[in-house]
Amino acid sequence: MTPFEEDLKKALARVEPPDGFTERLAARIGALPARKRRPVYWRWAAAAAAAAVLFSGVSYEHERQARGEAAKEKLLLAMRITSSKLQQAQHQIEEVESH
Amino acid sequence: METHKAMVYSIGWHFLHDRQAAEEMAQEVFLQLHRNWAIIQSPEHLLFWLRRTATHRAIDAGRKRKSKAEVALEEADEPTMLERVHDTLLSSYLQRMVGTLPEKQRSAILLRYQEDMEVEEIAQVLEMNASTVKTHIARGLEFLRGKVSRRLRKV
Amino acid sequence: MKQPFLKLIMVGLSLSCLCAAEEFKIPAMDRMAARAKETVDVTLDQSMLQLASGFLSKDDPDEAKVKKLVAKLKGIYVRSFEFSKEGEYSASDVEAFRAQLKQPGWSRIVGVKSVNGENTEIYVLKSGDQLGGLVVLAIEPKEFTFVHIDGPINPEDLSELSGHMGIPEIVKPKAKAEKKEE
Repeated sequence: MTPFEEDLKKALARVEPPDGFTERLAARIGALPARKRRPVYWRWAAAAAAAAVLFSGVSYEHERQARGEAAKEKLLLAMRITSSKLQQAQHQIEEVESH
Repeated sequence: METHKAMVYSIGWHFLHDRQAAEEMAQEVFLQLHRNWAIIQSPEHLLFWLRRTATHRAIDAGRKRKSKAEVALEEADEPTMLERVHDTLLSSYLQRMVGTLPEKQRSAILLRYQEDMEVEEIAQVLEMNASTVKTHIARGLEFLRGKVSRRLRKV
Repeated sequence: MKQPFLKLIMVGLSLSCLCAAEEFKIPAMDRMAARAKETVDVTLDQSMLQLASGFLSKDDPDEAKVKKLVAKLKGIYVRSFEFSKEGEYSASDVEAFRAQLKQPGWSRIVGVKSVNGENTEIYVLKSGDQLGGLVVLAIEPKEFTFVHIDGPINPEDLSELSGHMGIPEIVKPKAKAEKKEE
């Protein structure tokens, strides 16, 4: 890298967002309406997973913690989707049998 | 993960040079992440996803702002005498000049020098081929060098 | 109340077969993903399941149940696509999944079609007196969902789960004595 490129790199160093950024974001996530098609608990699971990413303040040493929490949220999401679809199948069967 | 917050915001700030617009853009990126969290496969995927989404959102935000204040490349603001007095740091000047580059050059320069990404990685984020990325970086650097050397001659 | 779904799984289990099935390979879904307005993609292999399980709380009843459920699983895979309008995916997209489920050992135990176009198919992989795997295909006009649970699973566990996490409970069948009284 040339000296000019080194200067450019310094000029483009990352900057922190203004104070309160995380709090304002959390407020916006909390205010999001539930989606019509997906049950609310899926949104909670996804929000919890996103929150685990954003607000855990994970440093390099805690990466496994973040991965584990994220994997847990994905697992719970998968189980909810599975249960929901099995429930849907059961209702459909009951509808057919009731006719 | 705190680093990702700064990374996303910085892409917005260096692209748009407007703190409010940069924060709005960064918030939108994280809201989009929240909606699409389940598709993230790994920490590496998360980083790629954030860089790509932040860059594209910054470009979109820049286009909306362009209609409000069109500034031709050659007519980019030269610092006034007062600004020269206060703005003696090369970094601040370079930041402003990066903000006047065409969007593709600006994106390529940011990803190369803010994010230390390789050309091939930048090509994936910007969805263009590697040689095009190299061209954008080269043209952006040429413009910036020219601006800096003209400024140094005036001071 | 009836629980036909559970009965079907039990029937499936009674026809146990020790046939070895090839590994289920999720078909490429790039085309579907490109057209979807929202996508859910969960891939948890055995190591990720173990990692996730380590973070489940024993004190939370739902999480404790999930912990027990996944203890012996090899993987959980979910692909769900929501589209903005009907007709965004084709029968051949769905057939790519059904083709995999024609492998030895897989049996379709549920195939329900609703008048509103919502179809659900459930397949089980028989392994002795247990399920060796479960696949659910939920085929709706504006949504397609694929779930694959790979590994030994007790159908009772899935019924248990449905009673929590905000999902209305599947009512379990009354005992035979109670049924006679009806």
